[in-house]
Amino acid sequence: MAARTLRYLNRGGGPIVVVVLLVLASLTLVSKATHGSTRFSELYSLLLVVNLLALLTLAGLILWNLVRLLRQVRRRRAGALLTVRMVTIFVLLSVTPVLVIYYFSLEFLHRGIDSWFDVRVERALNDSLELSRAALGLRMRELLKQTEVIGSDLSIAAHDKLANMVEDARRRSGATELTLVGPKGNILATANVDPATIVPDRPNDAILLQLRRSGSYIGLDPVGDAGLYVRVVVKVAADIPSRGSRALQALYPVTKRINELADNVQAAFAKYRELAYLREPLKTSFTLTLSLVLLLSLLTSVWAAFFSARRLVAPLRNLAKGTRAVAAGDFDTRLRGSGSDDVGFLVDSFNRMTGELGRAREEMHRSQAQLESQRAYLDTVLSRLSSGVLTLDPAARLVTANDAAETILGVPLATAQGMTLAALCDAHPHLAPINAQVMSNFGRGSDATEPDQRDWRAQTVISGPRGRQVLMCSGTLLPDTQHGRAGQVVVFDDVTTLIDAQRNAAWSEVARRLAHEIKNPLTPIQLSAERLRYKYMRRLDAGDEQTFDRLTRTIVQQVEAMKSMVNAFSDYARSPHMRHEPVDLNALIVDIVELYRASHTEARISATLDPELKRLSAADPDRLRQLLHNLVKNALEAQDLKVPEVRIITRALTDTGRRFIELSVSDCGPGFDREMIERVFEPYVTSKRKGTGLGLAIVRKIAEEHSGAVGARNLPEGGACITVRLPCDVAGARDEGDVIAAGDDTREVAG
Amino acid sequence: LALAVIVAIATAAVQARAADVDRFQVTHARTRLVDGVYLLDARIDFHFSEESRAALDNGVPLTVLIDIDVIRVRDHLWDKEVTRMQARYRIRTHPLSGRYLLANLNSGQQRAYRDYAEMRAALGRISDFPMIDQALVKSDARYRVRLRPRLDIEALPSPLRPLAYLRSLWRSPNKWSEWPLER
Repeated sequence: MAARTLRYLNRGGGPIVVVVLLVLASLTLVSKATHGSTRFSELYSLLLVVNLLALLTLAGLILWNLVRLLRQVRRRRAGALLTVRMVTIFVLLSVTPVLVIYYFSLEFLHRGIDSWFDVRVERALNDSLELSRAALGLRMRELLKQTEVIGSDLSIAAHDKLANMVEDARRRSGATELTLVGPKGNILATANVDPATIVPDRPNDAILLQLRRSGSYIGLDPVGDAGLYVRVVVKVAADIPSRGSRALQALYPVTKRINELADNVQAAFAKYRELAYLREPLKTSFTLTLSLVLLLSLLTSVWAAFFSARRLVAPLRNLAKGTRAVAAGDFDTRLRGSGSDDVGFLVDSFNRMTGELGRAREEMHRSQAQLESQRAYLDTVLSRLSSGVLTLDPAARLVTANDAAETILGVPLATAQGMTLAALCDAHPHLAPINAQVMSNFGRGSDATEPDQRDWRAQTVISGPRGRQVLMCSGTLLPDTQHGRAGQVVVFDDVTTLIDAQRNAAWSEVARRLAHEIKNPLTPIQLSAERLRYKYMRRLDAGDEQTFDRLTRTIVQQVEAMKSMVNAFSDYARSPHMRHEPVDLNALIVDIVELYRASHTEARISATLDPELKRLSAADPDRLRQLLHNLVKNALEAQDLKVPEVRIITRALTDTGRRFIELSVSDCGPGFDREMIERVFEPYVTSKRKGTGLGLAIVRKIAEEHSGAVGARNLPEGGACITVRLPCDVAGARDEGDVIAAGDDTREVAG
Repeated sequence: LALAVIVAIATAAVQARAADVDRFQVTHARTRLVDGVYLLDARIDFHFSEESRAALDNGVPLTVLIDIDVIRVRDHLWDKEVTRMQARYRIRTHPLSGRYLLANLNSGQQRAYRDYAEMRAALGRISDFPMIDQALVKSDARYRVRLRPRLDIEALPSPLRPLAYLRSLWRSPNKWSEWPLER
């Protein structure tokens, strides 16, 4: 309730004007009361209280405003500091002159009051009073004598004649009243100029006491409204001594003129003395009134300062609020109009600005939405691309990469955004060739305008988690430039499989043609050689016959050898017709090992098989048997030792989330030549004197038919090791391609 | 400035408190039923403070009020005021005669006294003051009479009033003296 009233008083100019007018009226009344106006003098205390209440109300209002302002400053409300500054300036501007005026007014006031009093006037008035007293004293002494004479006359008078004598004496003496009082205070006789006066003015106890002490009393008494009277009381001897003395009181009027003059002197003296006595209280009273006026003016000014500052700052505060709202992104903020002054113009400008900003933001949102849509479209397209796409900024930092890029490079690129290509290479060294390729093309063609000059294309080979990969990379500079350097978009395809397929197809074609071209003449050659033996050998002499036999036998044997070689080629070139059934590789290995242990008793063939090995889900047991046969045979043939040694090891492993079976067959032979090791799986590549050179080529072919991979390496302790890695889920691997990781020290050779 | 005024007022108030104050005490009071009218006789000790004496001796008239109430005592309700009277006296000095003048403002009567003590004694003596007619007093009810003498601050010249009010604020308020109405 109180807060609401305060708020109401703080709102609008109306309450201020009313309060100021009331305060002014009240102060005027106080001023009049102070100046002695009888009418307002009666209201003086009430007016003082009213003004004090107004003072307290104003002080309360100011305190409330001050507390509110301080709270606003503490909360860092907009415009609070400006309000403080303005209030301070207003208060200083109003307080300083008012205080100066107050000081000088007080000075003038005190001096003015002091100037009312003059020693000479005071002395004159005292003298006048003394003069009056002296004049009256003379007359009073005469009247005392006169009364004493009357008293002596009455002392001898008979009791029954007292009344007449008193009346007679009164008339003669000119007294207004003459009263004879008995020893007990009873009135013995009285005479008054006014016969209607029944009760006489009797002397009081104090007068009678003095009478007893000094024998007479004389005094000037103001009696009611009748003016001054001279009261004379004298002792009157008793007519009979035993009765005690009596008292005679006479009241003599002072003449009208003297009465008037004495009254004037008395009134002037009394007034002057009262004024002199009231000098200090009067000063205090004037000071209090002036202080009240000052305080009320000051507090009203301070309040008005608060009010004005708030009114002035309000539009600016709204403006600041609006600015904050705009800074926070709310462009719908509109400020209320603030008149046609400068602030109003500012508010209009602000509203126009927020309108424009709002429209600009809508445009921006539309553009952003379009951009997002285009980006989503581009992302969709990129994610569906089988080619890897990388975009790099001018500092070679990765900006975007599609899913295919991650798959091809085997690197999680989603978390690598913002990394430079060099940093990426540090984490994944197998990307170094790509980095080198990209960086070599980075500075090139940034100034070129022709598309041909901005594009580049190159083939790069990397050895990543998936083994050796041949990537066909192409890049182009991005159109936007920064500091003269342009970013790049790099597109690459994994062409490893394609190249392998092309190479295999070429070899198959070679083998097929070789088989076709060679195998056909071999049979007639063999038949001819056998016919020669049959027809001519018996006709020859013993010496020739032996020679002839040896020659034809050689022809037949070689033709047989050639036939088997051609058959091998034919097998290599033949398109596989694989069976797909679950195969236990360990069991197959045990069979092969047993077979070879029986036929090669001198050899030491060991098999370390992983009991946890899972079955291959879909494999051709015959082809795998051939693979094992080729490997074991190859290992035995590679050793020119009395006791050749072959070690077969299987183990289950998981790589990039997929399960594999790894088969290693190692020997103790001389190992592969350094130059040859990369090509051992190609046809016709062999270090042995005999053999077709197709053994390991067929191994690789069978492994690839099972979506597997092969690798060859030399062991540190001597000997060679062929590793075959087959995925447990062959069908899945086939869909996803060859993703077989070779060991760290494995040199994988593909086609 | 406001602080200075407050300090000045507080100082004045403290001074007023410390100084001698007007003390008016009813020393004796009784009522009598005379000819169907209850009359009041009372003795009041008027002790004027030095400030008041100084004002009086310097020509400032002082007005003394004596509030006289007759109230009916009720058991279950608050007491009822049957009648309220006020005796008003003004005292002042008469420089020319050197007398103290005591005027009964109710009757208009004025007496002059040679000295202050005489005047004070006369002021404190209330005799045969008619209070209430017997007809207005119920026989089965209980009545009490109360009396309160006080200085009329509003009758003082305006410059003296603020300080007089402050002084009256600090001292205990004028108390009523009560006694039962004697039948």
